[in-house]
Amino acid sequence: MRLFLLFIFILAQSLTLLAEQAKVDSIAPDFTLPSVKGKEISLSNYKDKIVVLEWINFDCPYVRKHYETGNIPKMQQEYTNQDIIWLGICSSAPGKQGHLEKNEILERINEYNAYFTEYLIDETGKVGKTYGAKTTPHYFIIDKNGLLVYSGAIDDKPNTNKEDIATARNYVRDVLNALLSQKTPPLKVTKPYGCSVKY
Amino acid sequence: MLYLTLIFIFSCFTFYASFASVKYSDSKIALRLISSHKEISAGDTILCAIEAIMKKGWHIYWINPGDAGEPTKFFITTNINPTDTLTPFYPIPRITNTEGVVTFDYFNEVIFPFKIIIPKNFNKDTLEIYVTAQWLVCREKCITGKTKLNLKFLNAGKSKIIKQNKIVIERSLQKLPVDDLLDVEVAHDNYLFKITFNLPLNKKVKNLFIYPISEGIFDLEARQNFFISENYWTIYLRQAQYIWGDTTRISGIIEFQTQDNKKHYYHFMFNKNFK
Repeated sequence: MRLFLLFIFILAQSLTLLAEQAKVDSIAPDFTLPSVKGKEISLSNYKDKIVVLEWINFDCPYVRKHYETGNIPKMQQEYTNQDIIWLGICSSAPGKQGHLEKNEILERINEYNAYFTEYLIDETGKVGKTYGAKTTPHYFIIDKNGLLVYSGAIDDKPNTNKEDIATARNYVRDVLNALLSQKTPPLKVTKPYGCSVKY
Repeated sequence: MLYLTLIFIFSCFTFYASFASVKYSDSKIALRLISSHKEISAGDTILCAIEAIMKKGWHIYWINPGDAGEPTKFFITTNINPTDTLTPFYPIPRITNTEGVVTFDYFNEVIFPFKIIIPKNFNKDTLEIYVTAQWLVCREKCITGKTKLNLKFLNAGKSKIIKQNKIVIERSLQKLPVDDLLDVEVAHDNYLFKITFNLPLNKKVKNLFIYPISEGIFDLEARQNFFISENYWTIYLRQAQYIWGDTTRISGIIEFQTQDNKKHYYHFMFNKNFK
């Protein structure tokens, strides 16, 4: 009897935690965060749109690999031009790596020619933890119905070698291209790689 | 001048030969391949190890790095049968939980031992060992690294052992999880894995911990709950928020901490395609 009660307790604990968390094939949890431009942005602002959530830390060498080569900015430009919403989210806590002042963020965005629809600041890490963002970069893709359809890495080359970008399989492109052509994405979950999120 | 050059070359050769080791080093990490033997004979069992020494604050990752990082990998072959690859033993790692990002890593110094059994009919002039090591070494930033470490031994028909290396490798082998596979029964329901097994020790156990070898299956941050009921033990593990690992073959190591504070390790493995 005692064992049964303990099991129920663990199960309840587990289900409560999971209920708050984002899950692939489920509706992406809504959130509201301040943007670097000083606006309050909610995911629900982008109903009926494909949304990319990109966890970011401009000081992480894995992120720099893709920004310094122009790989991510090129994707951002290409897909935002096709009406896709691209939200950069920084969950670095104040004082931790990647937590930058607003002017520094804007300088980096300008330096890299990044094309975020919005760059959001998640200082408390609440949104990062709800989505289970573990690394930077870490991608989450939401379809037009609001379903989370992808969680994982940008590509299949988990390193900081810039020359590997040319031969990498870009998972984010694969999922977005499938969604744009109204096909089922070829992937749902891959292993994210990069620096740990500095919560 | 020629004399001095020859002395220098000779001393370098003597250094490597007497320690039976080769080395790689950069500003973050040094790796050394060492062996118990200097010369071998057919039928010998050679103890080898890759020793990694990290600069203060830097770390490399276990076979399962956890929520971030990349595993340290070794590809080991010999000229006994070049198509056979060997895997070294990975010592139990440190667990780091940084605000919910859990990683398994090694810091300061770690030794990855392995054994080579030379067949009795081995008749080549030399035994050659080729190791390719690949790692990610991190502090505030991470740097990938790769190197090749090769050793060559004369098949002299008589073994020459390097006692110092042998002791170091034997000690590292004693600290490893035992090879024994623990029989486990696994059920998966409502995002929970229920792993049940009989206690393999005749000692009182005060704590249990599972180190998952399989990546992308378990929630590493979630508390591991365990219960004892007469003859069997049960441990509950929560599944990962996003499962990306191979669900057909799941493995890990169970750590038993006994009342005398000693730790005992057993491997487990199960097939559970629950997707």
